[in-house]
Amino acid sequence: MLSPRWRKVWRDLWSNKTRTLLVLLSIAVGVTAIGMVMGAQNIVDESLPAAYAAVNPASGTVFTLNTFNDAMVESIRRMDEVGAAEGRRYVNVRFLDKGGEWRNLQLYAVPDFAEITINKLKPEQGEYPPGKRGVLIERASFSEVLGLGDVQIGDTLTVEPPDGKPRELSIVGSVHDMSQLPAFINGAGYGYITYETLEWLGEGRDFNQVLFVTAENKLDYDHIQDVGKLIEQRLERSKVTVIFTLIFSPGEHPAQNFLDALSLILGAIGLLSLALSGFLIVNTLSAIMTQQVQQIGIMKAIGARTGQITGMYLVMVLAFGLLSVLIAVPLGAFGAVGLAALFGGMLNFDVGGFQLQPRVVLIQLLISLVAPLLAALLPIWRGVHVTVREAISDVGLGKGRFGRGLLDQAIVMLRYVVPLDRPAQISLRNTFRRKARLTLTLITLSLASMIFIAIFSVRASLQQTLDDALRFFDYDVQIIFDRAYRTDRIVDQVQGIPGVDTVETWGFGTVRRIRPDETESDSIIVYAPRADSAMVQPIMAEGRWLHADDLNQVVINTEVLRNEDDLKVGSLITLNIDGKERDFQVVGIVRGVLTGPNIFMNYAGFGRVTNAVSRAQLALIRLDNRSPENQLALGNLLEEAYRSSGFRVQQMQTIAQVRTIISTVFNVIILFLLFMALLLGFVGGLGLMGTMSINVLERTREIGVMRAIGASDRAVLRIVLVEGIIIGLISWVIGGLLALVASQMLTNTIGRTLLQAEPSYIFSTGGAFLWLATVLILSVLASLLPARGASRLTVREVLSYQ
Amino acid sequence: MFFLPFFRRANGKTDGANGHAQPSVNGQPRALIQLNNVVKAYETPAGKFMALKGVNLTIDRGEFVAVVGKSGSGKSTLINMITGIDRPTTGEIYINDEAIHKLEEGPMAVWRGKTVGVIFQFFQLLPMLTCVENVMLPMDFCNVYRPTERRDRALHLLDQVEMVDQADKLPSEVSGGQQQRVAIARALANDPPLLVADEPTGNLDSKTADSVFQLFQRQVSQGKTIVMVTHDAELAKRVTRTIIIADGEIVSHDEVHTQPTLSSIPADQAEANAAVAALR
Repeated sequence: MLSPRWRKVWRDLWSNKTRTLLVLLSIAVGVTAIGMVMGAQNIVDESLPAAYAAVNPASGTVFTLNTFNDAMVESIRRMDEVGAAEGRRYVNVRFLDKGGEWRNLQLYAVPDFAEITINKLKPEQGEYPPGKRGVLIERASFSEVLGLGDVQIGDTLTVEPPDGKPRELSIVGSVHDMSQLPAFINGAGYGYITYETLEWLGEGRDFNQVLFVTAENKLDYDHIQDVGKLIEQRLERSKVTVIFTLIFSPGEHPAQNFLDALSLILGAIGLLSLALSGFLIVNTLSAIMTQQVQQIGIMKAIGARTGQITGMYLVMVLAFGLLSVLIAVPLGAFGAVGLAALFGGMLNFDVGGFQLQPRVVLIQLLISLVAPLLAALLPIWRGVHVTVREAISDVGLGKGRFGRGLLDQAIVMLRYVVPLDRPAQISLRNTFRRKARLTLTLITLSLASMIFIAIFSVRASLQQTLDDALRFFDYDVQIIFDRAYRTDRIVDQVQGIPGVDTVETWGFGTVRRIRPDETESDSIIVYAPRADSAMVQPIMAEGRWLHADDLNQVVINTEVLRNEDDLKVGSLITLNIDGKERDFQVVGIVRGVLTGPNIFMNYAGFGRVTNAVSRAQLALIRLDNRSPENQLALGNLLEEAYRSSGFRVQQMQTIAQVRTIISTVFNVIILFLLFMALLLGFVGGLGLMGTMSINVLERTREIGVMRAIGASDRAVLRIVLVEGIIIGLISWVIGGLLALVASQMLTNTIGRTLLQAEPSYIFSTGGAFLWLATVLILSVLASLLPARGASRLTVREVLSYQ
Repeated sequence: MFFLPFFRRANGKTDGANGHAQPSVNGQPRALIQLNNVVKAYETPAGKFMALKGVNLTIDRGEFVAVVGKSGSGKSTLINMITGIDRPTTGEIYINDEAIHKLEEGPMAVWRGKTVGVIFQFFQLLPMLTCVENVMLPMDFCNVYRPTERRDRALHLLDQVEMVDQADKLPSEVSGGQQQRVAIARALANDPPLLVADEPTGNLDSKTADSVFQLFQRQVSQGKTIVMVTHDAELAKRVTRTIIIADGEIVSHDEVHTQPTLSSIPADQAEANAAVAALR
């Protein structure tokens, strides 16, 4: 049999269901968020590293320009530093998608599917290995974005390899290749074929890739780099040109930085939700205690001690915590699985099914009980220590002291500055009557405002970063050939085609810097535009761009400085090009945008050093009409023009396509951020609703008096609504000011995690005004229910309100 | 019908604290309530306000006292002094041999729970507890009577105020007058020697007010002491003594009546019940 005091606690929980629901939601929001984020993190940590390790990922992959044979692979395999090595042949083909558009497909020819030991493939469906004229498509490549949307096993693709002759390739199965960057980040799908099929496609039975695993120190990035260089040198000694060596962070999934960016955001969401939860709880519990004041007085009058009363309310808070656990634990667990599955889908790995993770549940339980208790301490303390006399002699109108401080007097003085009518003055002054409560509400709403606006700035900044990157290289269509051709041939072939504005052939290659201490840097890509190139719009950070007559001068981008931080404008830089060491002078530094470390030199200078003065492998074309549709149409036309004249085309890509690929990645991040913004808006709205309803409750008698002196329903409604709107507006101003700082911090953090580079930064005033509209709507909605309740009270009810 | 002596307090002492012989001081029986030069001053934004300006008051056991005065006269403040709800700025207050002006909040609450039954103008029952649960609440807080006995005792008290049939109803389900009766039963829960009521009939119609007053008279006849603030001059005529207070000072201690209207302790309960019932 429960004693009366516990029956009171129990029934108090259920007496005001809306209030209870509000408290439960406040607690559950934070606890669920933590559960989801931690749970998803755990699931990913359990699934991903093991699955990735199981495919025996390559320590590094060396990509070469020209091909080599089996003997070379064998000699690499026999190197002491190399534990295992495999050769593959990469060839880029284009295929016709269902809509009749040409799309790119990256094919990898594997010598023996049964003997793969590095970057193992896992068969999913259909045949394995693929038969002649068959291809296995990587499972995540079956997507609309890559042109393989409504394609199935059993379909045939019309492909055009570099030799230009179309062939029918059958899709005979699907595989899972965890070693690749997810296809949507890559921008083209992956396919796997046998060497027989490769031959049938008109290519030789040779290799242009070697996958290697080091013999020791498999997790040491520097060691892997060293081994990679040894392999490169061996290749170069045999006249094989190395393009670059791809080394992912050892042991980490290729898209780890993308995952990290998402985890960062989610972690922030979790913590922020918890913090805001805390403020909400404090506010709501204060409101509850205020409502309970009279009852506390009665209980004291009939003999209850402070300790007993405190115990009652602590138990009530504990009950709230336990009830929230019932909501938050299942929700968090489902959310975690959903989130992990989302990651898995995006990054192409498998996650387990639904499971309750004991560690996560325990933490959720702890937070759910401890956080409300901590938040409740002050409100309960204050409520319980009200004297009996204060508690039961609740005469007069309203609580809170308005009128004494400087702030209050300033608010009253506002009537000379802002022409508001008396009811609006009431709203304005009412806002400031309960300053502690106002502060708590403002903290919650302002934080929400700040993050919301900051998120829009991140979005704008990422898009600006992309724009800057694409403007840097100001062309429309890029065509990469399989081998070098004479530049005049390349230009003449398409210059006359209507719609073509300019054709440029740039030099393109890789170099290494020889540092003063004789060590070598990583491969750095060199672009050698024409001196008068119209297609590059550099954003100079320091110094100057190349002049027409520069021969030994170079411009480096800021990405180079990350590893070669001793370089400055005016420095001498020694580069190893084509096996020869040459000295150049740095005359300028440009902002690197998404292209990694680059060095720029004039075409004439580059040609002199590489003896390739009149040959090129890269054509950049600018069109008259620069729209994305025209880029695609003309791009296809140009590719056709080259192929039909015997040029071996590796890849055609429009700038619009590049933009789409990168945008897709950004959009995922931005979607997560927007979700965060919505969540915060919701929590802020909850906070405001709680505040408004308790404000109205406390002023019930005042409202009655106003009604008695002639206030209509609408007048009362308006007074409450305007108060809510004023609070919303103040939080917008505070949040907006905070956002000026927070936006930059958030943008830089996300930019660095995702892009490993400083992004361009823009403050989104559009976002600020969007939030203004949102907060106004939120304020109205949050105040509406309490306001309507207030306007419906009759004078009689109200003035006899106890 | 249950007999009061049947119930034992948790500390083992038997009931019936009222009515036995007082230890005497200087040959005089010691008063239940003694106020010596009690002053109460409040700080208000408009300056210092003297609610009580040096009040001296003695109330003996078994008295039925009415405190009468206009609004702002200090009568509620005086009552709050007696119940310990408020503290004097200066002066001494002895109630039931306890110097309550020296008590801290904690011991004060304990003392109050066992010594004073407070009845307010607005009934102030806890809205989410039923009538019987409200009556049980003081026993729960002060830990008197064995837990298994508390409900029965509460029902007995409700029976005394004729509310036993509504025992399991919520306050919102009964009338104002009925709520006040429950409040009285609650005030009696811990069997305190003193009942203090602040305008107990202020919100009731005259018939209900009358029946409540009868209840008070019955309690006095059973040995309780009652101090009641009222502005109802008619009721004031029916008590044993009236104290008139104005501007923070007692202006009259006079004993207006020497005996209550129901002048004799009823020979048996049945007769008393019949008399009470006849007046309803």
